[in-house]
Amino acid sequence: MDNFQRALDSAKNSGDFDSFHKGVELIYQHFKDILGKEGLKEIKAIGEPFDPHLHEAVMQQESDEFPDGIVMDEISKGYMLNDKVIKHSKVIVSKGKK
Amino acid sequence: MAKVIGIDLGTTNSCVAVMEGGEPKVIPNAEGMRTTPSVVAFTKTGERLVGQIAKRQAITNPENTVFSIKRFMGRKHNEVLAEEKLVPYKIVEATNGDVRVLIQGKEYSPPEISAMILQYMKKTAEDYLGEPVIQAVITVPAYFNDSQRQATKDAGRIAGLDVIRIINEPTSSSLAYGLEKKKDEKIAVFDLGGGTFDISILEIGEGVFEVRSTNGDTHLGGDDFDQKVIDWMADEFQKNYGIDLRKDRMALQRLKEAAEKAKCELSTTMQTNINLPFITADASGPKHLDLSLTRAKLEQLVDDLLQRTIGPCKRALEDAKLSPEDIDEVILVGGQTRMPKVQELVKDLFRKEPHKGVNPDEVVAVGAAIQAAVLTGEVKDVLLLDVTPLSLGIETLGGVMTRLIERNTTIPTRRSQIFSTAADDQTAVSIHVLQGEREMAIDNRTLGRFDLVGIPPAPRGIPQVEVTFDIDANGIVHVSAKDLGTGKEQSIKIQASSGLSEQEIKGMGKDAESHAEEDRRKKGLVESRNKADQVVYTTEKTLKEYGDKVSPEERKKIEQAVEKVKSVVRSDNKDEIDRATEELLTASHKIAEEMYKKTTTQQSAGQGPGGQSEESKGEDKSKKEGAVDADYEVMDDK
Repeated sequence: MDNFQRALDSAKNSGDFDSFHKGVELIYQHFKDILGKEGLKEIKAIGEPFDPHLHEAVMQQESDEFPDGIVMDEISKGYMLNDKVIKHSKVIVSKGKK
Repeated sequence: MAKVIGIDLGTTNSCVAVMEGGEPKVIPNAEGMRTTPSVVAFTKTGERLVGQIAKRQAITNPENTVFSIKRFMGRKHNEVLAEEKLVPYKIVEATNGDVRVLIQGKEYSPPEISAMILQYMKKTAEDYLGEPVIQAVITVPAYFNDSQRQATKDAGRIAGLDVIRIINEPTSSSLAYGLEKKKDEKIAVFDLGGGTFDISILEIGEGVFEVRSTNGDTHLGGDDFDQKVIDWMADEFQKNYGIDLRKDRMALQRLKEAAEKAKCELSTTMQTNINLPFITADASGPKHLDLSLTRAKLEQLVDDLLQRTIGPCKRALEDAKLSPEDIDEVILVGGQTRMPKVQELVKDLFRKEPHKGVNPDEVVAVGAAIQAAVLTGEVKDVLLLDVTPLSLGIETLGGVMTRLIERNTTIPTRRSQIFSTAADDQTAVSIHVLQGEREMAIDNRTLGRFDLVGIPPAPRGIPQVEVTFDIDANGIVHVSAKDLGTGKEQSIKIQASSGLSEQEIKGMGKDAESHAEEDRRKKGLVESRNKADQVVYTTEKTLKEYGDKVSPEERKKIEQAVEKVKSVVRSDNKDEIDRATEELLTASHKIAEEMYKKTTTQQSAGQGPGGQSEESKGEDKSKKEGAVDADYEVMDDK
């Protein structure tokens, strides 16, 4: 929280977007590390077979790259806490070649 | 004593609750949700999915994902032609005129599909309670006719549940609401769910619930609100691009989800954006849908639907012989009542602030759980009187329906009336049992038909045939006809009208059971495979990092064991996978042993003859070589 406060303060005072971006990224990394230690994992999606246990299909598209039934794009990331899915990845599933 | 659960088997969502320590408790499903979508899906790999998971894959599999099955329960195919067009799965007609859902070349009856949802709810309760659940109370809309009620009971039986009572949803929600209130009150229950609209006027007092009247519309609910938004989106799109998205099954599915989301958002916000990229494509390239919907526009779109709730409310009041001022409380039930405009309308109708104290999605299941507890004696001093929603009678001379039991009669009930013959020397009478409010027999619904034969020849009007209607507490109708002259009697139990025979139900029950067995087997297989995969992974990793610490022969042995596991892991033989995994584990223990030996010797050598105890050596080792230590600890766990 302190770091967010610092980031907000610096965004107000400085016009240097690059260093601000870098700072926010560090906070993001830090936050992710903490959650990772608590057992939070990102769910793999792109290139994996569509699995309704982990993914939520929001659309289906033709693809030359991915075979039928494979996740071809991720619209929002899903997360698991230990072995439990807490947020499903929203994905686009391949329909195979045209 | 085994618990009896209460299930709200809804058109769009279902919910299960149980009484615990005198308090009703809604049971969350395996995913932690308190309601479960009433969706069943059949995947390409032959798997059967129920609930949220089925909904998540719906887009990839629209033809094999069944939702709103409740609309087809206990109906004839020719009664549901309009609904058939609104679902992406295939509906066909069975030989007896019933509805069947055609999935991957196999026909399923609506009770079978509902049974899959009930099985899921049953399992949810069992996982929570930690014991098998056999008995259940299931709710149905007040408007359900006899065959629809029976179909619901059949679904319960197929799912392995003993349905001890079918109760009306508004009765159930008033039960949830009225338990703690003991004063005399008249309550209106306004239930606008996903697929049905019910309005009921109830009288509550001294722990007794009496349904004064029920009315409603079996074809009005949140789904229709969604449909209005879908149509609006599709019309706007057609205006702009000339493409009808309703013809594209996948685009339709996306529109449906977006419509529901937009509608829900507008209950709390004044405006929302609907953004569906790549909704379709034509020769000129991909097309996107990007629209903005305001609350006012939504209210305008659904205005005719809102107006349609007014008539039934007025009729219900008339039937109960009450005016809006007589109503003490109004309860809102069903997710659609979250819409501010609906609350406003109800307030205007009954001139009272509606009661929103109970969660509108869960209140029906909660009431069912209370009813269950009443039936098992867990909750005392609550007596529940229910009513028959439609009049019952028989066809008499001239094709007229003669009513024996008027609608809104409290059940259980029993009524008799004496009839006679219409012609001289008539030796048989045909009893045509009808349900409905219309004057002519032909306009009402046929529940059953039977003949009483062997009446002695006599001039017309002389023989006396006593016809008795008996409705039990579940609303199941028994009709008998007795010739008072000869004592001859014929009767029917109006039950087979769900369209499924006793034998079929038993067969389906077995199917459902074996399916549950198969699911368990599949789960075991998947677990074995996962374990095998993991052991292979950790062994290969250890082998790569520390393989040089074991002799080449040992190394080869382990590699062979790895290959063996890899060769069987995709087979369906769980035992074989388990055996190979076990062998690999034994073989890989060698590395651990070797490593342990080596590190110990190394450390003893390095520390020299310092006279340290075994214990402190161990501590040192874990500090210095923590990574190695952790690695084989993981493997020992397996």
